[in-house]
Amino acid sequence: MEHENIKEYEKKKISDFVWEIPKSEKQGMNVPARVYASKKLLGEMDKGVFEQLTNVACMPGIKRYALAMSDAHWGYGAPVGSVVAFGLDGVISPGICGFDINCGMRLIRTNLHEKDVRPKIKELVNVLYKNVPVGVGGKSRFKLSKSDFSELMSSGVKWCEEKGYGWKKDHLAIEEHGKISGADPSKVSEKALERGLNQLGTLGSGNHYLEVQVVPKGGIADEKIAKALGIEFEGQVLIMVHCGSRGFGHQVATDYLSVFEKSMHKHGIKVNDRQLACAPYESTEGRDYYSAMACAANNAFSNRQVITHQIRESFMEVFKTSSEKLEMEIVYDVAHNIVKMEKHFTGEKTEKVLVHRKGATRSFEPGHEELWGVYSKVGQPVIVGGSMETGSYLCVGTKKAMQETFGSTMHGSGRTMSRAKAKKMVKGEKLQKDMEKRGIFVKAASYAGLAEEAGLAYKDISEVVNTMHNAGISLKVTALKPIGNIKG
Amino acid sequence: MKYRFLEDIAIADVAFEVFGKTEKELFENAALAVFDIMANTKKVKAKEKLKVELEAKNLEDLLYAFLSEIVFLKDAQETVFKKASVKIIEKNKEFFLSVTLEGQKIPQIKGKEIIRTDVKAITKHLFSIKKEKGKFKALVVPDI
Repeated sequence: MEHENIKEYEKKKISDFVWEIPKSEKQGMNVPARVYASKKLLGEMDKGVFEQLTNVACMPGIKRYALAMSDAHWGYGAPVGSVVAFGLDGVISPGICGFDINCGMRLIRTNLHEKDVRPKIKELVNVLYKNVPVGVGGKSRFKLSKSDFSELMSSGVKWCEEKGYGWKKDHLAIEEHGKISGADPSKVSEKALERGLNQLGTLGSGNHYLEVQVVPKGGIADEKIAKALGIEFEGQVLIMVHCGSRGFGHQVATDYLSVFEKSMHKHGIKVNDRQLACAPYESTEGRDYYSAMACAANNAFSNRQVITHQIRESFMEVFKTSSEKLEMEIVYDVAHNIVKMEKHFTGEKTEKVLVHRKGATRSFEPGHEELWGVYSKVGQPVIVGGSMETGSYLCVGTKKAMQETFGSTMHGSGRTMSRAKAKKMVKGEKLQKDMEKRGIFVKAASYAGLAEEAGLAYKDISEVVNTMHNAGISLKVTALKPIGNIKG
Repeated sequence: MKYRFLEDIAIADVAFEVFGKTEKELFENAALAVFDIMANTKKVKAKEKLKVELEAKNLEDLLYAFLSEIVFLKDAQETVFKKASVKIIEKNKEFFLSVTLEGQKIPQIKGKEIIRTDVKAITKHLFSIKKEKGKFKALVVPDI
């Protein structure tokens, strides 16, 4: 497979890290596709990436390029790791946002050192596991009324802060202050509500996790930026959270996928994959989906906020001091499954577009008008979650991302192996023991789920991050290594 | 064989092929495959019964609606299942489905080892039903 991909794309090489698939590749392509990858990653990419990316390039109103980031792999409809922008006279597509609307990453720092935490890691992981519900049907500790839920959809993290789930300044460390505008709860179905009412502050399962991490020796790549973001010493303990809008968002996407599929004939749109069903943004269906998606996005920000509250409670319980004294500030929180209305250069001019990021992270440059405070000085933090065995990265956005990728970069390490295959090769119970020997204490709701997430099923995270760093799209700030992990 | 999981497609998620001699059998087996992703069906107890009725313009849309309903009930009723008893009626080019699902509430602490992986949604990527030599075969890619 490696040789096949390289041979095919070598002749369309744009740079060492960018490969182009011309419009002539598939009938109906409106724009070329571009893949960000090192030669090694390009060789490893599965054929689904190229097939799905060129399908996306055929969609109406797509601008410049259909883009795949260095972590791209075969998803449904569009690859996981893709960035697609449509003009406002183009379409919006739930399938290129993903079912898990505003699945994203949050990074929280502490002033604790690894040597304070290692001796208590088992206790800490057990307390986190008790306080943060995980897995299929992990039930929220909070029962929401429908009117509370409606307010949460409109106000996002500020609602949580007012209810006491977090600090009053938390929203200042979150993309869009934890609230995307345009949310309209009347566009959300009763079924979505029913799925969401019992799930606030729950982690979910699959690749979702909560990880206790440390800054490894030699891990800081940019001391100045790291310091500005509160990462000051090797051995510093941080907590990374990966989750999204849970059943609520999944139902919003399911509902609108059916609405869009039925309306495509009316709008005269054809797509190469039913999962790419879309509608003009300027149509009732398109506007309604955007309003409902914003509700789910705000629900996801709130979900990570309530989880943060539960994490702070857990640290207080274990370290017998306040979360304020532990300086448990949010470094940043960023979405990686989302549709955003943003201004970008589209080849000839700068205009408003609907950027679809599916398994891709916003990567805005320093000084961008949508950033504030320290983020405006150093660039927007990009939180890249690796597999639970290999570690993660914190990066920042760049001007080049604005010029080339609609201000976007990778989101994680990206799978190279299916879940079914990983489960055959790895047994969850053994993996848990092996990881403990290597200094990573993991507690999972399900051994099968654990095996599916084994490190061997993923690309090399450093190769993925270095590719985007060397391409100038997002710059490394620090590496992070796991010492404890809970997953669904 | 009732169903089998596929290893080399849609690697981010789960893909399965499901078989049935009749529409009823195809639907029941597809439900079993989804139950199997979510929990250890051998250990799930048949304590709760839920009845579902759905309709659609064709068989594919009906199967999609049915499997999506199972995913919905997993969250809304906090239930995992082990058995589906399906009835399908075709009338004036409309398909009607009546199903009884049997399973149990999702354990929160004790007995949690029966649960496996959350299914977020049923995708329409590669979603299809084919009839070959008088037998039905479907391909389903659930989002994990």
